[in-house]
Amino acid sequence: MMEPSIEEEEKPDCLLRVSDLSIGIDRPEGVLALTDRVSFHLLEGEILGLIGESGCGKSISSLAIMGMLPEPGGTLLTGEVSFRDRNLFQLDESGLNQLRGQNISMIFQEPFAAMNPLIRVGEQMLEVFDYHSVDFDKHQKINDLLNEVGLTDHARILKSYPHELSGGMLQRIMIAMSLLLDPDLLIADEPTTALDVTVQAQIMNLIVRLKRERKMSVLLISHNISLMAQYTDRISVMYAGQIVESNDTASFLDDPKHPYSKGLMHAIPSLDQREGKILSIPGQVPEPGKYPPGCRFKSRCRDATDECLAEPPEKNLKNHGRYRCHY
Amino acid sequence: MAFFSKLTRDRLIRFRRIKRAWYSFLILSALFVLSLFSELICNDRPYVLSYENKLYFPMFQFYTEREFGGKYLTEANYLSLRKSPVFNDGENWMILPPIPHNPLHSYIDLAGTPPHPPSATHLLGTDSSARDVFARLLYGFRICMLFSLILAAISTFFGILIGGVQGYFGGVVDIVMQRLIEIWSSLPFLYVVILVGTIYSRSFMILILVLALFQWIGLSYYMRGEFLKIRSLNYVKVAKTMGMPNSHILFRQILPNGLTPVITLLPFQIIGGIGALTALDFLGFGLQPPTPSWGELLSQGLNNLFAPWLAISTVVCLFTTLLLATFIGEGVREAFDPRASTN
Repeated sequence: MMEPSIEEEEKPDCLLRVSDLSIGIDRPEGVLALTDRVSFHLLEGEILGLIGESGCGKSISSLAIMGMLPEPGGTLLTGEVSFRDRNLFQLDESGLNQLRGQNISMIFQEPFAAMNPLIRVGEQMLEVFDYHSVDFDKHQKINDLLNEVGLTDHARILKSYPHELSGGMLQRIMIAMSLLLDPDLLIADEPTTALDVTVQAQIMNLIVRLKRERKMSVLLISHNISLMAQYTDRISVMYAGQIVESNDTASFLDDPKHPYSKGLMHAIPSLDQREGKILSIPGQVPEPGKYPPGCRFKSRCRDATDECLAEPPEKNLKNHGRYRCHY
Repeated sequence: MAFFSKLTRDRLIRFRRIKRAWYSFLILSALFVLSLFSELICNDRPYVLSYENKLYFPMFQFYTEREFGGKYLTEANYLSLRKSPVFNDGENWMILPPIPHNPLHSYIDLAGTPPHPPSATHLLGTDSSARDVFARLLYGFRICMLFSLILAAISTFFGILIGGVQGYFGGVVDIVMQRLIEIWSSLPFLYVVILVGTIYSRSFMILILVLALFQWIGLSYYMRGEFLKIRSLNYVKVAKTMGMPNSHILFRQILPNGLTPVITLLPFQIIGGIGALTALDFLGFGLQPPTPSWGELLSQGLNNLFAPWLAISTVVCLFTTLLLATFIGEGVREAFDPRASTN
């Protein structure tokens, strides 16, 4: 359905390409498709935002980039993920373990839950090197990275257990940990959702700065559209397991095409409009397995017509953007 | 290292603060350690014996009757030797343990018919074969404790292994194994004990193995749940995304974090072991006689209701042991309660 667009063939510095990725999960009643032919790509040194409501397949797709399918029962139905032109699903377990951490690493939503409560922070960081050989000084590297993420008092932090540190500190430590092996791609799965607003901005600025300094790519996953607007280069919108619109951030914000994207934009509370209700999108995302035929958004779409019962076509915009709608 | 993390230390400190559990733990471990040296406390062989100006150490060496002026090549009976006129004539002496009785020895020459009531020489009387009840209780305690400790160790190992495999791999592995366990657990345990006992004699190790065949099941349910839960926690995901191999994730990330049920269940497993052995002995399917055993003493007490010292002393011992173990278990559970550790 989603033929590779012209843009991808023009750019040689494509770091990651996800094409037609459908992931299913084994259920007693059969295989349930969680994502439907998801395609996106990431260039060297850019931030791609993947936006969508909870349960739309963002996290599943991002874990699949690391070769991790949902457990138990996750299966790859179609598609492939290629990282620097290597198909990840053809790698064996040890190949994947090499790639994880060294080429791609990931930070998660809940910094409190992201570290083993029984092991000191310093030990957990050092253990990463037990399974990856490196040619630099490990302790030096850890100290440098802690500096880079803006942490002082290293001796105390490294000796602490995770529960003795604050959420903001832990998220900084997680970022430092994810950078231990100098990855080319950092996946940030809602990195700031569990943190308070001031810390949120600090963490996001940190990620952007690190990305720039290290010429790293970042896949930012979030449901927060203002965060996306501020920090990303390009945006892909996911809805009910499909990518419904992708565009560069500026054009997307100027003129969202898909009704769902429009809805998301309307739902942002604005500072100068103090009165009146925030517009929300009526209804809820259908559950996997209960997706309606044709356009999956039609039950919540104000402009839906009979035509929407048919599978919506993929439309290319003139600036390489794409969206999936009849109108 | 994980065993002595701050969390574990906090739990230990909390356990020590629960006085009842901490003292129960001290008393029960002291009793168990003492019982390991039962031979030094309760034995009919003297520590030292001087006969015709020569020193003998019967507790550690075998001497025949002949060496002390007897007729036979069998082991000397030191209790009768001490009373014999020949021994008391010269400057002979012996130092006996505080309780000079052997749990297997029948005092057939006592006046009256067994079971004999408590007296100065037999503090808790004798059983229906005229054996000293105190000696049998003491040795029975040691067997009981060793039995349940070994049993708990074996069943804990298999409980962790099988529950862990189910929880970690999940999916089909989990479902198939769970059904097999259900079939296995519905086997009538007592028949298996009787059958295996009939075929391969009812020795200590065989009884442990047969009981262990069933006792791991309870723990495996808990471990399965723990592994299932921990497997999906973020720090396990993080370890995976950092390219850590499965072995690291299993043994370093999941296992140490999933040990709480093992430790909280351990005292109760020991209680279960003591109960099971006593019940089997009581029914006559337990350890081979004449092994000293509480269950056997209980059934003697039931058969000789006119000799209440049998039942009363055994029940008091059994009750005290189980009570101490329960207090320990309760304390451990409280000390490990995550709600207490949040602040």
